[in-house]
Amino acid sequence: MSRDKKIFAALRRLLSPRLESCLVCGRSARVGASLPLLCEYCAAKVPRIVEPRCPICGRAHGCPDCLRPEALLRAFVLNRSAVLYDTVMREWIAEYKYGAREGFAEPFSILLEQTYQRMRRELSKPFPQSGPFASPLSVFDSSRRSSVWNADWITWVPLSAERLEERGFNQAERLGRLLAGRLRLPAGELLARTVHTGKQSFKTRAERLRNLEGAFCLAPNLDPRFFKQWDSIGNRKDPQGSFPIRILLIDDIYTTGTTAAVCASVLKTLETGFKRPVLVYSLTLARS
Amino acid sequence: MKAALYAAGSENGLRLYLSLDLRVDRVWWESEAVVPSPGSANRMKHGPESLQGQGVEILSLGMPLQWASRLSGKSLPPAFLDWHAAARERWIRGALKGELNREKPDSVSSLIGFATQQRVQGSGALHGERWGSRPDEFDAESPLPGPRWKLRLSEHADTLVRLMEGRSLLSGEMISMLQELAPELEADWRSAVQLAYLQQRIKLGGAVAKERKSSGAKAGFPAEDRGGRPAGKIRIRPAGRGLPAHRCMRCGSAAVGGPCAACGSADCARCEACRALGRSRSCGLLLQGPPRADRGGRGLPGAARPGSGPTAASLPQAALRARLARWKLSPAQAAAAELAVRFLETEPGPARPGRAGRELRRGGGFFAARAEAAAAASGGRRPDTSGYAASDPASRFLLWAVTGAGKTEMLFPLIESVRRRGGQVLVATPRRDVVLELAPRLRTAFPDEAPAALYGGCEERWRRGGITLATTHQLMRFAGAFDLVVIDELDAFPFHGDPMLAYAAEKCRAAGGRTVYLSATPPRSLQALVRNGRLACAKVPVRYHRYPLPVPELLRIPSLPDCLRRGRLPDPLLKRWRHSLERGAQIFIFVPKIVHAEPLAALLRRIFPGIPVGATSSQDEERSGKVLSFRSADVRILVTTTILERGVTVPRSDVYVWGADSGLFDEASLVQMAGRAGRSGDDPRGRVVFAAPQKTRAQAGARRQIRRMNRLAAPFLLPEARKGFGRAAQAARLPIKTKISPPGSPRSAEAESSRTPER
Repeated sequence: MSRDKKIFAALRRLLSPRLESCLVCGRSARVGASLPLLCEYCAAKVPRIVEPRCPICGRAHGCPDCLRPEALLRAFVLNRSAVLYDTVMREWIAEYKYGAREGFAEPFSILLEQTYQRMRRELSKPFPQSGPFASPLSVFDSSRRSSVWNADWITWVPLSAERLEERGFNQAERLGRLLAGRLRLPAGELLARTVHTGKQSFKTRAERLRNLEGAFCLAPNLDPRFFKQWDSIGNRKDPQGSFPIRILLIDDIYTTGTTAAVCASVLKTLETGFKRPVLVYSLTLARS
Repeated sequence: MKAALYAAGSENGLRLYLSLDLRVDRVWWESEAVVPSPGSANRMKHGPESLQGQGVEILSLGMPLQWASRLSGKSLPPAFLDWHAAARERWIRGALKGELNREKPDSVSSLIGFATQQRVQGSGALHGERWGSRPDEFDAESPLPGPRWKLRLSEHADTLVRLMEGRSLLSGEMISMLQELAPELEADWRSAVQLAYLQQRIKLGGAVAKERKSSGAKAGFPAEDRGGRPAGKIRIRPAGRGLPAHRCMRCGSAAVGGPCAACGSADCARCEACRALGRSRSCGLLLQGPPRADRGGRGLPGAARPGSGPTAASLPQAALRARLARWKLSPAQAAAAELAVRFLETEPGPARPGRAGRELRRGGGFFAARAEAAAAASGGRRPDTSGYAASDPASRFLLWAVTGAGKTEMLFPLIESVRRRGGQVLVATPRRDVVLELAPRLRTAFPDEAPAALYGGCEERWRRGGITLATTHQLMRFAGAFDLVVIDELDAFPFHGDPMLAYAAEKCRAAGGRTVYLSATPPRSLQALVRNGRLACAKVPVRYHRYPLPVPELLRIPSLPDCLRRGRLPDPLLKRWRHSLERGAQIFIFVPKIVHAEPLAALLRRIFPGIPVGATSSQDEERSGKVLSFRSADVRILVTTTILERGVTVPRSDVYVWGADSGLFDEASLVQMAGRAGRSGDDPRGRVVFAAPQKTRAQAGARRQIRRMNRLAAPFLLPEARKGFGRAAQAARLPIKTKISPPGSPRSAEAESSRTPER
């Protein structure tokens, strides 16, 4: 009797579609069709940025920020974001960061990967000759010989020790590592946060900048071997020696770009270490 | 987080202790235990004098909390302190075996954080520079604070223990409780907690723990987590299989380990199931206060407390009735309440079957209850309410009251019975709106008490009272706290089918406490327990207005999507709806799916112009507004889903379930939906129609259950109701020519009712 039941149960399992519960809505459905762990309905809610309007910060609509004169001085080349920071994403990212739902790292990193691929296509195209891109362009032009754009190293915005202790994981690191694994790119910690600042999300632009001034430094335990590795990357790409090294900086949300700019300026100091120009590209999950 | 680990001597040898604040341990072990508080003196098994000549040695200044917690309390081999660091570490690794199997081998040493220093000899050496000179985060203020600090510390520990009584809190929750109730403790909470821990008055541990292999639960759990759901339908935590199980100590769910930046372990699990109540993880601190029953002389129930008067067990029936008269119950309610009160006030006697497991519960107290719950869960039974009930039926009571019977009123005498003997009462319900609705009624019924109402996002999160009213999720913050636990709407979402909430409902009960389940549609497994006489039960088969329940009519019509597609509604239904509208009744139309609600409403608006029609579902923001306007007859027809199957009372209403054959409507929800009709005394005879293209077991079962209750109700019915009842039943029976109930079922129903009151 019970054996019959077991056999029937097994048969039914074989025949019925494999359903799992969706990470967001919890309904049992076929998940992972477009994004891992998410059902179709929830995946359709993702407000992807397909065509960035602002070539610098990747915003999907007009961007007054990047027209400010000081924006030109920002240390990173450009930013691309996977999705708009709308109510849906706000909720999901909060679940991910504060709600201990690390499962979200999977779909998020897929979104980042897709954005990275788009970024690659976009940056592998020749650049327009004018506009705010003049400065990166000069470097870029020389590099166009090696046909495609690729990041050389993936790193992320660090958390302070207190925040890390409280949260248990660095949301950007988790995304960065998954992304690096998918793209088979080297990844590692380059930055450290020296000051425990309050949450950026409660601050105005001026406060954010003041707040973050000097909040980051190079990671204290950077290995000398590490620089060798960079050398070899540079040599492989361009034996003549002026080839820039491109760092992809991962974060969860880009609001004013202050964090990315401050981190990028710290990363720029690496230039002295391995005597090559360093270009920082920012890739974030959401763009507000 | 990380915790320190040290070894300290006692007469029975060396033991390991964890520490959150080594200053406190230093004071504890070197002096007469910091002004021992009255209750703790006798509990101190290791007096300081036994320390003379023994060593106290710090082994680690910070290791992942879950490891320290696993190690603490372990006794060490006597020669341990003479061993080399490598040998010690080997021993520690051996003791941690199960914890380490997913760590990277080369990182374990640094995570254990072995302090390689010499043994500290004798108590005198404790003053020496070894304690103070270490670069030690726990020991930053190296010269010990003065005696005033000690005195304050012991006061703080007492306050903490008092606040923690019956509680099970994460450190974050505890801190927010302290902020509210005892702000002076907040800054120094680690010291207070550590002292209370050394006094053995609270228990510390990781909030998620790895299952010990010896419990034999290895294979059991991943499958059981799906308990209560149809097989093959939903897999809740797919990743949990095959790995050594982590289990959340707060909610009992399985969790999956991963790398953690807070403790450094590669196998630190976070519980996703109870994340709505704060982050529970392996290296997170879970504090368990003393169980309530620990307070001497309060043993409930039965134990005759001086001055509490005779208990119901010894009372003659008349006296008990007189006591219940205060609550003005209907005869059926009073009969059931009488049974329940007798149950509460009787020592669980030898007459009741299934007594074996109880000795453990009563003797072992708080943690035994938890162990038993875990055993019930792992011993092949499903970790749901029925599983727990089956493992210990003698302390439980099922109050099976039909929809509209007035369950809340019946609770009052039970609450009173426990309160007059000084017990703590909990009324838990799965839904927040019920808490909000019940709170004022409890306040009027018990003006001397101040019932605490707890739900997600409530203001008074930490208030305690003799009576606590809470959503079932809030129970996770309690452990061993209540002498009477009432679970209202046992079979309602989300309580039903959630092993986490069933676990919480078990855990919050004090040793020797009782549980009363309240339901109109108890789950089958509980019904089975009642049927074979293991679970005590009282049935209230009649509504407070003493008319029988409307018996559903099964109507065979085309399916709802078909009709919507064609834009035509079947005549039999239209005829009945017209009739309902003519007699001035409100019409409930239940449909299985949200997507059908609005289209059906639109179609109805076309067919009945001038009749206001509404539609609502769980995704409707204005749901409560629509229900209100339906109740006040501004809307005459309301199309809705199962979301309104409970808790809605509309005075004069008829119920139509279209798509009653849907798998989303089980027997219980059909009975509940049918229970929306005829609830008021003005119009006790509503109409209930189950319309579907096919007859299902659920429909027949629901009708059978209603008929059975009506039969049991016969002695309680009003004379005029009794007269009409036969006709109503006849009328309902006529249109269906199929067989309604298997032969013998009325007999078994009778047998049930006669068996339940037996004692």
